[in-house]
Amino acid sequence: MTDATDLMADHPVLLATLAVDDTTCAPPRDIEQFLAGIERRAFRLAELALGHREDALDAVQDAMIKLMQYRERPALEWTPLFWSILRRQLTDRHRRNAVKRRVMGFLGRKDDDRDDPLEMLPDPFEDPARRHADSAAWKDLGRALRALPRRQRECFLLRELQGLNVAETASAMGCSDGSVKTHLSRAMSALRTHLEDWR
Amino acid sequence: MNGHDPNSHDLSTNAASTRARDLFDRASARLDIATANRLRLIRRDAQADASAHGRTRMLMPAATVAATVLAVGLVWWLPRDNTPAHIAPVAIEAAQDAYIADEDAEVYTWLAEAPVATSNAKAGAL
Repeated sequence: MTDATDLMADHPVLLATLAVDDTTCAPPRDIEQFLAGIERRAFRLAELALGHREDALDAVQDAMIKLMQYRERPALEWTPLFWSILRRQLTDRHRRNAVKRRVMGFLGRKDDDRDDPLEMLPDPFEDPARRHADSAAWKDLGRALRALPRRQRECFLLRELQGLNVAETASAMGCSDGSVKTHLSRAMSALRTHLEDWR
Repeated sequence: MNGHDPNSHDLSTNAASTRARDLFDRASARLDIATANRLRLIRRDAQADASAHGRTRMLMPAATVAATVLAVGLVWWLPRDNTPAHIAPVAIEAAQDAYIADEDAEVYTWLAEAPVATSNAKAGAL
């Protein structure tokens, strides 16, 4: 128990993450705590959707700046608002990247999709084999998700990975609960085909 | 476990979904230090940006009130001309006419009473 308390004291971000993610807890104390708790998952979600680290960081930054305009709203509204803003950011960047890729292809230049060297640094506390397996699985998942139609991808990311409930997902996506269920069902079906090795 | 079994279909879907969620949770928790620092800076920048914006927004009404008070003060403080604009020139003109008329009457009176010089008077003087 003491160890857990010490861990919390040493890692305010972890504490914030638990406070935000656990629905039984009170809403975040302030916007700082909310953003601290959500930033890592937001970044990973953006990375999966865009397949590019810098783009993902930019999308999260823009989403945070936009959310600050709504900081006077009740804390309970921040979660659907933030994911809704981030979803729009990802959609815009997806379109922009598609145009960029087309232009680059037309000009005969290859878009820069190298792995980030920082990501390649080994973690001394982790089993290298497991890290390698996770890295490969992460890439497979990203590829499969980016191959999905936009609404299905958004639905899977928000509902399945971020763990929003159906109503929150519908609010973030600007559609009905029924549409969320339909998109999710189709996304799962498509992913089952794309991720054959995961069965 | 054939391809038409709906239960196996659901199980494989759930397994893939669970695995994806676990992977996502692990990846979010195990972020490299450089990216975690970038995220922290991004968060602080967003908040600083919002604070600066908020301060500017709060200063705007204060500046408006100050400008209004200054304008009202200037209007109050500047000397005002109480003479009605349309009446003033007419009144001044009438006063000047009356003055000239008074002067004319005095001159005519003096001319009438003044001794007239004659040739005898001139000779006597010589």
